[in-house]
Amino acid sequence: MTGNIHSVSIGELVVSKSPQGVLVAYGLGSCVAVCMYDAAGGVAGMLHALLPSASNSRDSGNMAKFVDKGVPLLLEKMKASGALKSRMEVYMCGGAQMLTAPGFNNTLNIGARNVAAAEAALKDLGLRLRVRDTGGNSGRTVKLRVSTGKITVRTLGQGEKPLN
Amino acid sequence: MPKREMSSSLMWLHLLTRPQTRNILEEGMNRAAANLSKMVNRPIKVGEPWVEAIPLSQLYDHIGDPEVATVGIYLLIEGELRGQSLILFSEGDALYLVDLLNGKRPGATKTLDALARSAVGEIADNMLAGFLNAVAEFTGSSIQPSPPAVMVDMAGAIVDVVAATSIVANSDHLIVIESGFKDEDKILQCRFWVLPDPADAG
Repeated sequence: MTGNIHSVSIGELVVSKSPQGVLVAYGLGSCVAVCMYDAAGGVAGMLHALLPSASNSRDSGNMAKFVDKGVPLLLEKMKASGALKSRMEVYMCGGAQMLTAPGFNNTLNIGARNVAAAEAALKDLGLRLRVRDTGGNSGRTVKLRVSTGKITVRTLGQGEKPLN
Repeated sequence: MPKREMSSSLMWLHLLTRPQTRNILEEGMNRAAANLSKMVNRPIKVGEPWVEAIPLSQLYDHIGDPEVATVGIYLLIEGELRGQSLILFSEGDALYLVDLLNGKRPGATKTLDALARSAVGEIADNMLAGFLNAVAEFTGSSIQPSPPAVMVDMAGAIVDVVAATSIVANSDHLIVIESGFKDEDKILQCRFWVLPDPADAG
């Protein structure tokens, strides 16, 4: 995939209208990437969140690291760039369980909790998830092309595959 | 360092901030390297350990290429001092390590099957045990590594595990004690991370 790569690092959200732009979250493990796309507006956005919820936080700084805060922030930023909620396509990738050894399963199932938090946040906003590639035990690189809204997901075992 | 009756968080604070405890970290890394050296039967050089607060947004820059195939061994530090450890090898280095451990010629191991993963986990467990022995002696505390969890995946996905458990809600920084290990031919390299329990590092 060619174009101007905008790397979306952990705890970041990026919205782009650049037709050449490609938003990329590299090596997602338990993190989730939530993608929003408005074809008519030519606006694409991606959130790369680490933790499900800000509820126990004293932090007033970077809210995009939390799924529950980051999803509404992404929608706001999309709308500020001219996207319409009614036209929004929403996708989600990531939320893998990286630790599969016995003894780690219960305490560290952050991937599944991130996915659940994103589902809840999207439902609250009245947004429907179109396609997802979540869970499992493998890391993913997610690319979203601004000009077309096409998303690909790459894993080490499977290579790069289209999501939509 | 005063012995006994110290909480895990106070012990970490001493280890991370006091100049006089630097030698404890150095001794810990030396013992980790010595244990690695014994297992693979060749000299291992260890870099001076450093303590750093890595901003979340720069974590992937810090590890290099987040997509590269990596072997990460994750262990918890349990007992009177709590935390976690992540030991990172490239996939090629992990295969080489298994060859050395089994006395095979380099290149003999082609894939990291269950047996090879278990061997790599064992090595990491021994390395962390060496580090923790030094810390336990100086602090007079009882500390053990948990059984290892071996991951083979993209570097970014592996580092997510410690980021998600360490970043906690209250900080955008990852506190890491880091050192690098190399064999004399610089074929084998690894990164050794020790992270204080997030509840103690805040």
